[in-house]
Order: sequence, then C-alpha cells, then structure tokens
Amino acid sequence: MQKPDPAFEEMEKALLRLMPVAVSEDAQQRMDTILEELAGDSKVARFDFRKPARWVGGAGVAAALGFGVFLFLSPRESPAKAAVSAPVSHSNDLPPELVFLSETDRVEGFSDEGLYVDSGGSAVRKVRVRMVEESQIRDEETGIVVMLTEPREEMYMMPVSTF
Amino acid sequence: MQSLSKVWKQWLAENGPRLLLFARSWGKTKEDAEDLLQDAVLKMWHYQQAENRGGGPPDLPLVFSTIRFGGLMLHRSEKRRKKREESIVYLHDFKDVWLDPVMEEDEEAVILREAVQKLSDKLREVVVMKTWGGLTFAQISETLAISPNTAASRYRYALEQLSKDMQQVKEERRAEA
Repeated sequence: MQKPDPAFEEMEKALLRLMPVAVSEDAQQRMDTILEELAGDSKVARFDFRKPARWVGGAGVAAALGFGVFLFLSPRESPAKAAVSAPVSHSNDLPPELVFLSETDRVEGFSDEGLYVDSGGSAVRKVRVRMVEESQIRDEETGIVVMLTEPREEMYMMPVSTF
Repeated sequence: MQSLSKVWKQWLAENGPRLLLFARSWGKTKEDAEDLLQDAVLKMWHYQQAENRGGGPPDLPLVFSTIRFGGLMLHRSEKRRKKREESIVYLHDFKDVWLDPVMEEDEEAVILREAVQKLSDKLREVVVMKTWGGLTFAQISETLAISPNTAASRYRYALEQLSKDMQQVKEERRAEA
C-alpha cells in the first residue's frame, strides 16, 4: 500500500520538481520571536542575576509603604497600579556582554490582610504587596535593549502601636 | 545542549514551507495561511510542554491535523463573514503561488503547479501530505480520519487527474504552435 503504482512514478517525479514556497520573512521572524518568548530563553532572560542589594531596595519600598499603610487603613483593596515606586540599586554580576541600564521596583497594588498577633505577642498589620521589578539591560553584541519584568508578592508585617 | 527555542526554530525552518503549503488549502491568501501556521505552532508548543511530551517539536502528522482543524474553523467563520459581506469583491493576486519550480523556466512544472492548485481540496491535501509532507498513507489516514485505503485511492485518483490535466494542456499548446 505504501508503494505507489509504477504508472504514476513519472508524475511523482514531476511533482518533486516543485517545492513549497518559503514562509515569508516577516512571518518567520514573528514565529521565531513567539518561540523565544515561550521558551523564556532570550539571551538576557536566561541569566540568573539575583541581586545581593535586593533588600536594600526592598527596605526603601517598605519604608515608603509604611507611610502608605497609614493612609489606606479604610479601603480593603488598593486600586490597581497604585503608586509607590522606588529605585533599586543593582549589582554588577552580569555576564560582560550585558550592560545594566536601569532597574525599578514598582508597587502594582496592595491589600490589607487585617490585624495579626505575632509569636512575641505584638500586634501587627499584615499587608500583601504586589510588586513589579523592571530591569533594562543592553546586549552589547546586538545592541538590543531588553526590559525584564518580574512580578512578585511580598507580605509586610507593620507593627501597630495605636488602635 | 541547544535551547528549546533553537530546536523549535530549526524545526520550523525545516518544515515551515511544507506546513505552509498545506495551510494554503484553507487560507484565502498566503498571509491567512501563515496565520494558520503560526496558530498551529503556538498550539503545538503548549501541547508539547505537557509533562510526558518532552517539550520538543511535535510529529508532523499532528501539526497537519492541527492546521486542518484551524483551517476548518477559519473556513466556517469565513463562510459566515461572506454571507454578511456579499457585496465585497475580492481581488485575486495571481502572483500568489503555492509552489515554485525547483529549476527556473521549467514550463512543465509551472503547468503542473496550476493543475495541483486546481485539484479539489480532498485530493490536494493528500498529495501535499504525501509528496511534500513525506507522510505515509497510515499517517495521512490518521490526520484526515479516513482509512488508509481511502487515502491511497485519493492519492492515485489525484495523480491520474494531474496526469490528464497535463496531457490536455500539452496537447492544447501543441495545437496552438
């Protein structure tokens, strides 16, 4: 069944004198980009460059939030894309071909999780914060500037001294 | 070890044209067919990421099936759209061809190309999968949900028809000369 009729061999040979038209450059590029994004292995994204100074920035954000928490005691859920933004210092542990351009930590939103008594018996207010860290990195070889977006959630325990 | 996206891109570079040719049966233009192909690649990616599938490029018969399914859906929505927009006149791009002759100025290949495009959808999809997709009749039958015998007979019938068409065009040209 797999072997075609010999009578058609000539026609099969003739068909092979035709070849499928190539995928257009535009479509090929589009699909390549999609595949890279899906694989999450673009040149920059693959490197793990956790920053030792992360908590320095985190402390800055926490301080800014401390003030914010006092202001938002009544609403239970913050509006999306609220507002505190703090620059974060960066480390230099990137591969040499990658140049760090900038990094910011943005508070995307926060919600009050209520009062809580910690193990020491102190009252704290739990605040869940949705952060988005954005880093801009330039690949010196290709000149491409990549924006890395890293969302995360953090839980802050804010000491409560007045009721 | 090569990154996953690199493996997929290589696979796409190798198989893209044959899959696009198959998608042409369903898309009105090359752009439509490329959208169908892109959609199939995206679906395949997610499908292949399941735990026991390894994440690598899929088997061709599965991609042909996915394109066909996407094509059927497109065809259905096209039919509905056509009903709404009956007054619109579609311009046909005559340079928009599905196949190219391997050799330049191969007149016979150009005639054959036209004959392939004129085949009915049912016959053409079998010829495309067999000739340029490299699929066996068993794989074609799986893709189209038909028996292997039906796949083989459609293929034979398509070749017969192509042969007749070629003969007819040749005779017409001889008569004109």
